[in-house]
Amino acid sequence: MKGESGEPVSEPDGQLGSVEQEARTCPVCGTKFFATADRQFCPVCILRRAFGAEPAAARERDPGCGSADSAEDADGGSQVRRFENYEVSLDDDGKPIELGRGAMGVTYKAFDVDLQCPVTLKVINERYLGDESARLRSLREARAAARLRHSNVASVLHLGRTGSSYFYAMEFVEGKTLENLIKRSGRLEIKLALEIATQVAAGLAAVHEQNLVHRDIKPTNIMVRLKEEGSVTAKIIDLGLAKALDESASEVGISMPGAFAGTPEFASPEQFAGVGVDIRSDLYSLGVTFWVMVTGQSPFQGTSAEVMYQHQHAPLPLGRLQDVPQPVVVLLEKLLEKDPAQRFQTPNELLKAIPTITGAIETRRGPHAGTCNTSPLPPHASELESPQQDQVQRRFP
Amino acid sequence: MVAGVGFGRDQSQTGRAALAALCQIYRYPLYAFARRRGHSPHDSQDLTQGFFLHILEHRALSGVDRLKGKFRSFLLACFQNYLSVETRRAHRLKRGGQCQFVSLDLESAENRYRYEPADYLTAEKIFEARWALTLLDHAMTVLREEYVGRGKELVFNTLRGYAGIGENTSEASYEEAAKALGIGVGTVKTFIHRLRNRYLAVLREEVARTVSDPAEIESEIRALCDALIAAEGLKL
Repeated sequence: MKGESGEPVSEPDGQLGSVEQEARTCPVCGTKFFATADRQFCPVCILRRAFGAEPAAARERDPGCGSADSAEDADGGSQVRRFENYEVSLDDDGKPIELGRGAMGVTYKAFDVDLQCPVTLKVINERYLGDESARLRSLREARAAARLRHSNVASVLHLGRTGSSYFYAMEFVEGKTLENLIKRSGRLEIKLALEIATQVAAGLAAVHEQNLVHRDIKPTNIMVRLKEEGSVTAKIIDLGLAKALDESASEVGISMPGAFAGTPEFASPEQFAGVGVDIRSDLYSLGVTFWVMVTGQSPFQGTSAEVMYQHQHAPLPLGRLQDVPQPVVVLLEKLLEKDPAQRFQTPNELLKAIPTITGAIETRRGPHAGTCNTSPLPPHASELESPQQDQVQRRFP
Repeated sequence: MVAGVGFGRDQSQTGRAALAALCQIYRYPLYAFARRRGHSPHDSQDLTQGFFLHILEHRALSGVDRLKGKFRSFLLACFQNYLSVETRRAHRLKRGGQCQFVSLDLESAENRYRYEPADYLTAEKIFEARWALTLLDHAMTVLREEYVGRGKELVFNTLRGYAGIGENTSEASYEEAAKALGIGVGTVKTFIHRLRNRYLAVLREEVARTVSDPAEIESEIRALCDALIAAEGLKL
């Protein structure tokens, strides 16, 4: 504090000890104040900031969470959001831990304050749920998804509504997304890719048993956990787009009948065509995912329109599979048939075929093949036979 | 109201200790109020300490939990009432006895009061402005204790000046702090971000303790800001 002369003066602080105070003018609001060692900031600004009217702005930034019970904290982006008994978890910086973000909404890590366990929370904005019939359909699908219990599918635990948003609470799955794993590794070893594909197919079989279609199988919707001993666990997550099979062909989108729902890069030709989809569509998407696992790139790239056209009409760029064992190439071709009737008809068919593929690879490698590394860990490119050199039977049992 | 303290419902030892703690925090604003009302330094000292003893011994705040509104306003109203009663007495009672828990350093408090803003401010406004600053200081004390408890006293001492908004934000000052802590500038910024967030969180918790309803928080903050603005600059 300064006296009339402007000299600093000594004054007791809150602990009644002597501290120096110095006159300052806030560079933000212009308020004059006296700074101490512990309080060098403008008291008016700090109070306003701590209790400022920022929640509304934050909600605008994040429409997916617009109706959560929220308490904005000081830095604008930080807030505690509650969806019934689920509280969105925050990182060290006080920001919500976002696990994913898509067209339908945002997925967060959250905590069930009643059961005291972590969950995955997907918040879907009402505008994606459309009219009453769409809401009922969504409810029916959620119920079907909730019945689904399988070790390779993250369970849906709860469907709720807070304000204008619906939310799904799902089993929280430890590990990384398959996308992260691929990005880190460039591409996966064949054996690891086959193991992941097998587990995803097992999960799809459970989806199929419930007469559901996932509609958004892709690396970001598959959680992978690599264990020290070299084993791997893969789980399908995000049944938020799952569709009941008894919908009419026009109801391909939850809230936008006739509209495309999914991710273009991994969508099947029939998804783009706006016709009815079934589990074979998911198998196509698994095929694209498998392609990405073994090559590090998706088969069709470009703008959404270009990708859509290629999925529907372009031949597969098999030339990019130079380093992929021929049995796997054959498997990819089967999975990525344009015509659903030419693909595996069910996940179980795929599950039966995979051991044949694995056996063919092992047979061709032989005990001293050496160059074909099918060890699940660590990933990295191996010198594998080219498709042209291989004459594996292109038929599956 | 005063959820963290539990007045009224909790007259146990714990409750009394919690009340004593709050008295420690907010004693100076009441002292300033008494001085502003014309009481001498010694009388103000006695009145402030006597008031808190009165509260504790007579359970004067036993109905606080059932009241609506702000603890600050209620406490001031109680204090005003207490001053009226006391000043009507012909003699000043010996207060405090052996109780030392609300030790108000008279000299320090008086030194502090000498620098309160100029004459046209009401005693109530001064009380509110001092309450706001006490609140801010207490939040910083809590924050310091947290950092010290985690063995990060150096981090706190180096970065406490950044808790505000728009302060010390030059790159050079970040570099200076980074050098002092032996870490990178990026880490310094992260530490500052966390410190600031935590400080504001503590501040919110402290304000929330003094209102009966979360809806009161906004008006409480507005009142405190108004008081700070009214008191600003008068000593410059």
